Amino acid sequence: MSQKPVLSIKDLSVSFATEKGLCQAVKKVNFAVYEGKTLALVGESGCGKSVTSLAVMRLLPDLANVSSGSIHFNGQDLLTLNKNSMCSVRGNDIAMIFQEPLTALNPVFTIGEQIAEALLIHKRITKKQAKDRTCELLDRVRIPEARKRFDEYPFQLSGGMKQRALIAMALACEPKILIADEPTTALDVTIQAGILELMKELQKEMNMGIIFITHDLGVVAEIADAVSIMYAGEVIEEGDVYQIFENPRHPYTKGLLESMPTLQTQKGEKLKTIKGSVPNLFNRTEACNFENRCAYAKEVCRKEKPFLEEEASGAKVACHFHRTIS
Amino acid sequence: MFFYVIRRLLYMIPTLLGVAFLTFLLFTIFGEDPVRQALGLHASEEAIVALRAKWGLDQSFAKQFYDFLVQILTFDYGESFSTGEKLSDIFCGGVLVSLSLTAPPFVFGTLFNIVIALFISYFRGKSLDKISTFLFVVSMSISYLVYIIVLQYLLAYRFGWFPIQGFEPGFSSISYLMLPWFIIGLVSMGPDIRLFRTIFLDQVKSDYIRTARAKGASEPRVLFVHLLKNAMIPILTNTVIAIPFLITGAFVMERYFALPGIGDITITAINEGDFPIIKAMTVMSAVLYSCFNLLTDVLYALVDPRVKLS
Ligand SMILES: Nc1ncnc2c1ncn2[C@@H]1O[C@H](COP(=O)(O)OP(=O)(O)OP(=O)(O)O)[C@@H](O)[C@H]1O
Ligand SMILES: [Mg+2]
Repeated sequence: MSQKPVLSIKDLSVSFATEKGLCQAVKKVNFAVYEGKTLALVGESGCGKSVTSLAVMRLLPDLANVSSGSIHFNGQDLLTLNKNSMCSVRGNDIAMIFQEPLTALNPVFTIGEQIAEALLIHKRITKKQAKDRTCELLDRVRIPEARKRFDEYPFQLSGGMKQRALIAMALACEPKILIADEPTTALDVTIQAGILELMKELQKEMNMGIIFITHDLGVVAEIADAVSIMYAGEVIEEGDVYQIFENPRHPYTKGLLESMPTLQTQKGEKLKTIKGSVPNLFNRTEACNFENRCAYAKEVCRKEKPFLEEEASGAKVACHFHRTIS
Repeated sequence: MFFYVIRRLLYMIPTLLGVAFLTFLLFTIFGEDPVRQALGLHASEEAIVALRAKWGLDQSFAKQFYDFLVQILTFDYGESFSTGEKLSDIFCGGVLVSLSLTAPPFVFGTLFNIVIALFISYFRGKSLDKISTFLFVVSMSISYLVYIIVLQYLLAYRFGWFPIQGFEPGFSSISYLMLPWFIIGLVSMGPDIRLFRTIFLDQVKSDYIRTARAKGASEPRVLFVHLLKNAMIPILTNTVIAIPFLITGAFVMERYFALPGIGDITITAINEGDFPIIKAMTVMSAVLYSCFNLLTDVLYALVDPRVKLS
């Protein structure tokens, strides 16, 4: 990938000032998103995927603090923008769809009003034009009877329809980057497939970069070009989707892949799980984060944290033994 | 919606009949004899009979109840036992005074408090928020009476900026009402703003607010458009409940400032055992409460699309 990334994140760290002390939710995360490509951020619950994406949108809750790093987009660092300039980036250049489609829409405004609002905020158009464009969008995300749905309220739509409406809202201004935070987790499997298909189609059409957040490797295989695996707030392995699936280096990535059901899985056979739990994020030690759950852990893993190293293939992995354990 | 309102109005009829009947029963069976009350212990037998006949008390219960219903429907409650004035005139006057006392500070106060609460919510967690919370808690722990007595003493008596008490109809009433308005507004600030702030901060955490921000809405737009319309639902519940009280009057204020409102009229009537007034007041309160209940439901349907009236 010699192309220049649209969005590049360098050394991003986010901490929460909680009652129990400082919680380092995201630590020195790096990644880049390219035009027309999808980067999947993968990791188990609580590993900092949502916090990372909210940091990009500058929508973190008040008690969160970005302690270091930069987020380069369009030749500027988003972290240095003032409130107003950030508002004109959100929804216009970088849009986001959230984990909970069921509650993400405003219950007292119609679907149409909410989608048209995105257009009216960023584009110089009349209400009439915004309405026409909104109906086109509703049609485009395959919501039937767009004209009629325009005047319906969120409670009148099913979960899948709500997520489609949210996608229409996010894509209204044809953003260069779309952040999708587990867009299908709350939905039925059958509806999931439709939404993924739709996102791929729209990505081709608008040539946008997507950050796709998920903990479902099945979905990753379906949609991603590049993958970053996160663990306890850090990226521990990254590479393109083939490298990750065919030649995983990090013991955690291997564990994730092995805990995925496949067609070969026999009925009654137990799926492998990764034993143990995530280390606490309050007192980070010098040890490798995964050391307590890792079958390959040796003395050095307890003493020294491995850094993300680039391999000949271009993939990166943070493990002392990545050469010996593949 | 239209048919819903009609139906609710029809439902009110049996409720109000019940209230009227109970009121009538309580006053006729358990109340003291109004004629003896009016004429005193030493009245002559003829005088008592004459007054009974005049007030219709010699009729059968059914006839008396029927008369009472006619009074309610025609809004002609006869005359006061103690002063002989027409009751409908007394009430009309009283309601006007009570409304002019309570409605302006209610309407403007509520709007003012909503704006202030939004402003404070914008600075949530900052020092403005903390200082104002402290001030409001202090102001709420002081009794209503203290505000009345202290402000009446200072602003009206010592500084002479306002008349101490009394009332004149027409335009000049404003000078008498200014201080009571100010006090009602001031006293409502603490509880209102605290409540509205809690409602707003509760809503600010919602997902739909985050969605609005994610599409690029500015913070004022998020607060005044997205948040406010949602917050109107709990705010309505809490304010519309107070409306009947506007008409039945702020008893205490009317007493302290000698304003001839409904509250003041009722207290005087109770003291003097003026039954027609009390009876009429009871029925009219029931009518008011029923109407405002209906109004609340209609308002809900107007703000919240999920509420369907059918
Ligand atoms: N509002 C908050 N207050 C305190 N800590 C928080 C808050 N939000 C997140 N965190 C911390 O940040 C960590 C990462 O949370 P995040 O929401 O990014 O997880 P996630 O990877 O998105 O998980 P999931 O798959 O469940 O959505 C959490 O483990 C938690 O400790
Ligand atoms: Mg999340």
